[in-house]
Amino acid sequence: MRAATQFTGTVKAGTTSTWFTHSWDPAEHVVWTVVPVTPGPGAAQIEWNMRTQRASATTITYWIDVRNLSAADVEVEGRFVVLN
Amino acid sequence: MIDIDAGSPTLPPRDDGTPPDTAPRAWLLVFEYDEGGVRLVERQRIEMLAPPDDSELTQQGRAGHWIELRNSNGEALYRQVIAQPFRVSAEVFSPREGATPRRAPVEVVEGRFQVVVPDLPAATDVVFFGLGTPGEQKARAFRAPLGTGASFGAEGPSEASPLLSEKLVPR
Amino acid sequence: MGVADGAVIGTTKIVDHGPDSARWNLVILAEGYKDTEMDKFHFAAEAFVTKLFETQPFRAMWCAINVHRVDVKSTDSGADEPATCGDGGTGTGTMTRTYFDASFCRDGMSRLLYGDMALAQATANAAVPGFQAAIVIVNSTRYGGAGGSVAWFSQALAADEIGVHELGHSAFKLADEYGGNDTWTAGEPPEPNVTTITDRATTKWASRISAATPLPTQDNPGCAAMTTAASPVPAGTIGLFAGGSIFYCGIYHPEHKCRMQILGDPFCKVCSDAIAARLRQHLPKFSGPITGTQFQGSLAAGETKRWFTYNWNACWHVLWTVMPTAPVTPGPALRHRVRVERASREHITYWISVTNESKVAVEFDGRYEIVVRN
Repeated sequence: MRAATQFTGTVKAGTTSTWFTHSWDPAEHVVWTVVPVTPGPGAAQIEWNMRTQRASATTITYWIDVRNLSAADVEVEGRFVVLN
Repeated sequence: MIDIDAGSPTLPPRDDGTPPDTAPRAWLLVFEYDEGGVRLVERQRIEMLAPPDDSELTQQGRAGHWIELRNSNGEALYRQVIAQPFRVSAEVFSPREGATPRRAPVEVVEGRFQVVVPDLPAATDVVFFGLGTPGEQKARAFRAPLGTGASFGAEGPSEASPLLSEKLVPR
Repeated sequence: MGVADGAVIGTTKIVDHGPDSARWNLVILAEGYKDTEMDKFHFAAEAFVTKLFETQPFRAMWCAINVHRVDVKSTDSGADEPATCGDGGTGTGTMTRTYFDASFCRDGMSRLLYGDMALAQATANAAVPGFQAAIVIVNSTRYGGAGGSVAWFSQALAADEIGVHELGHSAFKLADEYGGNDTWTAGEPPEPNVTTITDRATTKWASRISAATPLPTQDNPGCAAMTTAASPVPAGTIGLFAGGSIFYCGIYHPEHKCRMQILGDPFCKVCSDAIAARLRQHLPKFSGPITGTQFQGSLAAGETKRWFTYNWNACWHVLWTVMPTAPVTPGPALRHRVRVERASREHITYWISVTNESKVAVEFDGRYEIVVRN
C-alpha cells in the first residue's frame, strides 16, 4: 500500500487543467484525491474528476481534470493511494 | 443555495497511530568537543525515525565527517554523514541582497552536537570519523592569506580517520 | 544572564502531521521575548513556518514535517549589543538579561548573533527528544544570526533566510557552495552537493549532467574570489561550478546559484533532491481506511443542498460518499459532487452538494473514507 503525490501544478483562475499519468498496473486499486495547495479561505476553490483509459492490455492511464472555481490561480496537488 | 454546517471531523479520538511495540527505536547521541578532540557525553534511547544510511556517500567521499555503527566484529552496519559538526569557523551573513556568506574564525573552539542513529540489535560500537581534531581543523582553515597558494589538505589528512570509538552501551 | 533570566513556559505543536517519532521535527525556540511578548514570538514562529511552507522542496514534503514552538520567556527583550566590536561595528551598548544569553558581536563579528548553543539544544531535546532541527528566533530588529547545532536569527528583514540556509547544513548535510580559501586538495567530500571529481562519468551527480554541458562548467579565476561572471549555461543547468566548502578551487557545486551560496536563492536541484530524500521517509504511510459518518441530511424530491465540513487535515486523503438510509425505488436517488477549499496551510474544507434525483424525500448519511491519515 503506497501513497504519494503524483503531480503538482497551477490551474489558472476559472479554467480547467487536465493531467494524465500513464503506465499504471490495471490490477492495482488506485484511489485519487486532489487538493488545493494555495490557501483560499471562504469558498470552494476546485472540483475534480477522474477518467480512466485502458491504454494497452497491461497499462492504465488516468486522466484527472481539475476545475478552478475561484478568481485566483490555484496550485494543486494530485495524490494517489494504491490500496492493494 | 443554503450552505449547511457539517462541522469538524467526527473521528474517534486519535491514537498515536503507531503501536508502542513498533515505534521506531533510536539512539540519541550527544557529543562534546573542544580543540583537543571529541567525546560522547550522553546516550539516550528514544522513539524516533533515524536518518537513512549514508554509506553510498561515504564510500565515494571520505574527506568529511560521519558516524558509523559497528557490530562486535568491527563491521560497519550504518553510516550517517554530518556536515560541519565542529564549529571551527562562524558563518557570517549580510543583509545585502545577493550576498554570499563568509567564514570567520571563532574565538573558542568548543561545543556540542547530537546525532540520532537507529537502534540496531547488532550494533555494539559507535565510531566518529573526522578530518583531524577541531583544533587542527581550525588551524588549517585560516592558515594563510588568499591567493598565496594556500591549500587545504597539503598539511592535513585527505580522508577522515576515527576520532572516537565508544561502546553504544557502556560497560 | 542565562537560565536565571527566564523560564521555559511550554511547548505547542503548531504543525501536526502525526506522531513525532515518525515525522521530521523542527523545534522553534524564543529568545529575548518577555512574558508579555509571547504573542510577538508566536507571530514570528508562524511566519517562519509559512516561509518554510513556501520554500521547495519543503512544500512538496510538507506532510513529513511537524513543528513545535517552545515559549521561553526572558527578563528583558532583545539581545546583548556590545558598544564596539572587533570588526569595527558598533552597537547600542545594551546588555540584556535573557534565557539563552544571545548577543551580537560574537567572535568579534557584528552580525554574528547567538547564545548558549548547548542550552538551546538541551531545551529543544526536552521538548522533542532527538529533534531533527532547531532554530532560535531572537527578538531584535538588528540583522544577525548564526549556525551550529541550533540555528539563530533575528527578526530583521530577511534574517529568516539564515535559518533556512542553516537548516541545509545541520539537518540535510549540505555543504557551503562558496569559497574563502584557495584550493581544496583533500579528497572527495561526503556531502551530496560538493565534489572534487571532474570526470564526466564518475562525478557525484553525473547522471544529472547533460552531455552538452562543459565540465568544469565554470571556474573561479585566480582562486581568490567567487567569479562574478554570468553563467556560461542557461539557469538551472546542472554542471560543475567552482567553489564549495569554503574553497574557491579544486571543489565544485552543482548549479550556478543556490541557497547554499546565496541566501534567498532557491535550492538547486541537487540540494533540493537531497532535502527531499531526507524527508521522504517521514511522509505519512497508508494507515486507513478510517470510515465514518460526518453528517446526516434530508432532501425533498428533486432538491439540492450543500454541506460544508472544515478543519480536515490537509495531509489526509479523504473521499466522500452519500448513502440513503431507507430504500428508494425505482432508480438512482442521490448524486453528489465534492468541491475542495484550502482554508489554511493545514486545513481543508470540503463542500459536498447532494441532489435527490428521486420522486420522494430521501434521508442520507454523508460519509468519509480516509485512506491516508497521519
